[in-house]
Amino acid sequence: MKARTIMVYAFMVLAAAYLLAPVLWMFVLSIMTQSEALSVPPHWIPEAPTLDNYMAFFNPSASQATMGAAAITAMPGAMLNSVIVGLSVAVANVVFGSMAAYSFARLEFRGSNALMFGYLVSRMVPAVGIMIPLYVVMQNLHLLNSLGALVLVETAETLPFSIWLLAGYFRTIPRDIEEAARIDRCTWLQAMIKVFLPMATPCLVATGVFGFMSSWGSFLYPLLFTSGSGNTTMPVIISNFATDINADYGLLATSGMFAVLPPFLLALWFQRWIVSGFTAGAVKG
Amino acid sequence: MARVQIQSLVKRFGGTTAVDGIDIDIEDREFLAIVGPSGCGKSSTLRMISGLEQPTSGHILFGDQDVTRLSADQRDVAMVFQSYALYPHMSVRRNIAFPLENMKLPSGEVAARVDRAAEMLGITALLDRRPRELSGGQRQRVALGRAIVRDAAVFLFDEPLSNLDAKLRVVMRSELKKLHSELGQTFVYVTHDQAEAMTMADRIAVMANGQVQQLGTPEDIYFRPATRFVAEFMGTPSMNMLEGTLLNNDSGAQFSLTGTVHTISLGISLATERHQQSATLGIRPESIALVAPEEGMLRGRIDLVEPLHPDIFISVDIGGQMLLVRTNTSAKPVVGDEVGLRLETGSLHLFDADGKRMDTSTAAGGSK
Repeated sequence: MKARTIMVYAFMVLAAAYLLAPVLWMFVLSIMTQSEALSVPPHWIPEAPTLDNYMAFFNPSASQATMGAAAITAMPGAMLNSVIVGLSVAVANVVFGSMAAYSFARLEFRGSNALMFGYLVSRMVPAVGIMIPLYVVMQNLHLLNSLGALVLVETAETLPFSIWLLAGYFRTIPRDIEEAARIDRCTWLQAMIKVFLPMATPCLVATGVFGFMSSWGSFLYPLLFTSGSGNTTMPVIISNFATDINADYGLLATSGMFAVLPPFLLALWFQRWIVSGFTAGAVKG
Repeated sequence: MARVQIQSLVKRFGGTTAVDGIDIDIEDREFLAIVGPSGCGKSSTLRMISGLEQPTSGHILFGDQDVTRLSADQRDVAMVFQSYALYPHMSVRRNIAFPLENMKLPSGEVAARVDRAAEMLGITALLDRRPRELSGGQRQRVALGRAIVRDAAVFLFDEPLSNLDAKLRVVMRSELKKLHSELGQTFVYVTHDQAEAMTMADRIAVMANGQVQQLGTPEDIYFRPATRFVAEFMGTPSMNMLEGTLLNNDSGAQFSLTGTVHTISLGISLATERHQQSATLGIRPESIALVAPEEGMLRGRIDLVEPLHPDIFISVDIGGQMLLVRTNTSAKPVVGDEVGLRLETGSLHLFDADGKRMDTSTAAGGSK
């Protein structure tokens, strides 16, 4: 029994290391000089930790970086773009997802199951496979080089899963409670807003976070549909720290640190909403 | 406050007919119980009165107003659900205040009404809690509070006590009855529990297969059941049903029990032309007395004794058919004993082959 416990713990430590080591390595790189970053074997503990890389982002002109300067200047704008796209995708997922999911969960209509299946299957298509047609579509819509293109594509990609997620959750909300609201003089829309959606809050939040994260980390679509530092999102700019000539690992890692910050804070903030047992006590179990 | 008229109400779900053309006229301030086995259409009827379900055909009137096509929020109804259906994200206070807020009442009045309702139900101390922090009985009271806080035209109850334990159910039963007399409102109460219907209601509608089998006072229902179904459904334990042949001749009606040697002289004359027909004779367990074998109208052997003090239930085999007797005799009946049974002829119920009560006035009152 004791040996078994040790085995389990050993496995968990390994699993945690597997998940956390890249993040740790990113942090370590961000406080190293370029020369130490390239040392072999790698230093897990920096010999001469420095905040130069961070300073570079706040004072681009004084940067020691030679090739990353353009990328550094583009970072704040790209970050803002990422936030705009992320929030738009999150809101679109919550709004359209909840409307569609309500239909799947509550209304009986012909082809309901087939339609849901169709939505999910559409997600199975690899993004690369439809890249060229998508590009042509965006070109014809005159949406190339705009954030609108990214919002559209990211929403289309995440919405099927959001609908499926929300529909499953909506089905767990007892019909009686909606009906009680109707009896209590709510119109259908009022019952939806005052009673149904508040009860679905945990799942709505999870859906929004899912939409945000998906678009936040997306690289291929912004790379393809946008160009120029003013219109693109952060992952594309970060990739600019590595070119075919050279790569500034310190700046690359530091920009990565900036990139993980917003989703991290987001998850921390919304964690309190994503609580289980929210509906407990509503109806007799 | 309103009189509720249900006219030729029909509800079909796909191919099945849940409610099959019922007519009920509910008086203002009346307590009507709709009772029946599951699937009889009682809940569908209630949901149509509430507006949560649209009838396939027929009409529902509140007072003089035809509300058939109005949605639930446009009708002035309050409802208590079997599942309580409290809003989990609101405090008890807000749960109760919710309908009033939607009616856009001034906040002072909302607060006053909530306090009054809470006081009536003894839940003042719970007002700031969430539903999940309450016990089943407390949740039930909150659900009641949310209904009585309104001055609704009609109060609807969909098996509100069936999730409570037996003891609490009895307590809530009398509280609901008291509440009805205090509020002076029209109550429609759906239940499968005939004891609830009997104890609380002014009138009872017994439903089966989507139809009203009988609509009457608890006394009517119990003492003069209109059909064999009503007779068997109402009353615990169930009424004894003896199969046999009804013989009608000049000297009076006689009932010959199938599979036995017995023939009972009913002491009545029937207003029927037919001399012989198959029928069912019903008698409630408490209308049978145990007597010495030679003194009884029927003779049999004790098959089972179930003491449920102060009453004792005794199953007697009368040779092919069984009779349940309810007695509170101090003598200890023993299984296997030969006994005589005396039936109160005034409490006999005759049903024809279709289950309809036969010439009821004569059958029940003939020998009184």
